[in-house]
Amino acid sequence: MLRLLKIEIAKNKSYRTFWILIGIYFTFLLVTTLSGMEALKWLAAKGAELGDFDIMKVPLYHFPDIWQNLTFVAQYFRFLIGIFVIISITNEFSYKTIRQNVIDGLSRADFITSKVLFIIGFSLIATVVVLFIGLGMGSVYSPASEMKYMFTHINFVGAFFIATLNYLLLVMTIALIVKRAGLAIVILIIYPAFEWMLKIPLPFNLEYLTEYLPYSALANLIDIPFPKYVFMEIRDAVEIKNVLINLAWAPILVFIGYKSIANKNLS
Amino acid sequence: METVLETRQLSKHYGRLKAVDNLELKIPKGSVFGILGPNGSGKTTTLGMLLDVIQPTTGQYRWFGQPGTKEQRKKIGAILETPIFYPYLSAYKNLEIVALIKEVSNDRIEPVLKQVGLLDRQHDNFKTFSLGMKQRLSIASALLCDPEVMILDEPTNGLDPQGIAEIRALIMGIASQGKTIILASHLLDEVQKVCSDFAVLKFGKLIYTGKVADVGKTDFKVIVKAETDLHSILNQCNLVSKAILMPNGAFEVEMVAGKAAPDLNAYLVKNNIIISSLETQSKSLETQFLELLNNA
Repeated sequence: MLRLLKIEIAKNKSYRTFWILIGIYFTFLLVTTLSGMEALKWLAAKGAELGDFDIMKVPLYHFPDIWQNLTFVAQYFRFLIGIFVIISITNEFSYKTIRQNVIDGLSRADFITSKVLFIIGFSLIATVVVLFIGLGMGSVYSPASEMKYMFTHINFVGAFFIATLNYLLLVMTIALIVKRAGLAIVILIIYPAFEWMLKIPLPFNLEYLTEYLPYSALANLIDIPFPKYVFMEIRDAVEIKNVLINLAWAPILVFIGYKSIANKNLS
Repeated sequence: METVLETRQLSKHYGRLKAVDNLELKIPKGSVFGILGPNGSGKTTTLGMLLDVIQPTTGQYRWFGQPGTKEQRKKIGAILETPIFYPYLSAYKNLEIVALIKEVSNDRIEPVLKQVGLLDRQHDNFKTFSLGMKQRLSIASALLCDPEVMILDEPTNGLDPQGIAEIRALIMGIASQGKTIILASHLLDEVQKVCSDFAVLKFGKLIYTGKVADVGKTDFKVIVKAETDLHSILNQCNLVSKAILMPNGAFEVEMVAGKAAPDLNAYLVKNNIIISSLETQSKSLETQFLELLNNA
């Protein structure tokens, strides 16, 4: 296992595109998640109002709100790493290096495993970064009375990991099936809309079925938190059902990806 | 003799096209085995099946008496068609990946790069290499696991004469260490110079297999030249089955079975004819190859 992870690291560690995308990802992640108070100031200066409520008093970074606020915003930058996953997989087909890997002694399952391990590793690192941002910003901004809620709702960080992992596995599978970078990126962009459109032909009482599709399932893990500050109701917990749907999809996605190259000619 | 590779009824069909058709091959250990055939005769498809990148339609193959596995491929050094590496990585880093896949130590990388003469370019990206350097890097990569068997597919394709000579010298050096080499080529000259055994493919079918040294052993011509006219004496001679006058004044003589140039010389001496030159020409692989292809 470790050898397969090392192979994928060796392929990427001197690849400039990888470092550029990783750099942009963490820059965006840090800048956005650390500048929430600046965003509020900007909103206040623009004259945004929350009724009688002072907009600067919105507890963005207070425990326990911070966990949902932070993970909700942070998760969308996964798109950048999705682009990298597409490049790293479609390159193997356009350079024919997947064929040479197999000739040299990798099985097709080993090839997929090494990509999956890299994706798991990246998702873990991103999750740890988000966890530390949350602990740091929460400790700075939470009033002393709220410090006891530090670990309340911290399961959103777990949800962030699952959402990132399943997203990248979905991207990997798309890339393995279409094998061409441009096409895979286009599909990646329109795919969420595609799942949503599947609702249209369904009768109203069956629309919930689309929640079981892979993108909808991972997008449902962390619901948008901000409407609660204008006193709207939101889902402010991670639902076990959604976690289970995602845990079921992860191996299915890997299996579909494997099937798309198993027993195929690599020419 | 020990067999390294054996195929049984190996076939690959693409729709109605039979790229490889019931191929039965046996490759003895320690041989340099040439697979000859014109372009499109199924050489690369065959090698692809033996290396698990192309799924056979029917049939089996055995490496060292065992069905093919990834563990065996780790001990085989192989290149198919063009050299394939990550263009954005240096020669050294590309070989690091191969070393991880084949589970060999990185300590092997420098010696093999040295062997193919790429040591001073080891930190340059693969994409900056000339074709000859790319071919040499593939050979280095194939040598990395100190393989029992090397598979080389058109290793001199697209090289200039000097590059061809370098690669051939490399192959012969490797063969002299007792390794088995399987060499696919459409260049007859290459196979004749480098190989000990060879097989000929046409339209995916095996049409001949044998030793290179046996080529032309029984089938040869004697070229004889003299100051006097040889026409009548040769035609009377019962050792000769056919004598043809060539434009340069020499005669191309086909001997009857079991007779060779010394017999002809003795006959001519007995008849008081002094010859100015006598030469045996064995049939070249090229002649035999073209005959095989035409007859198949």
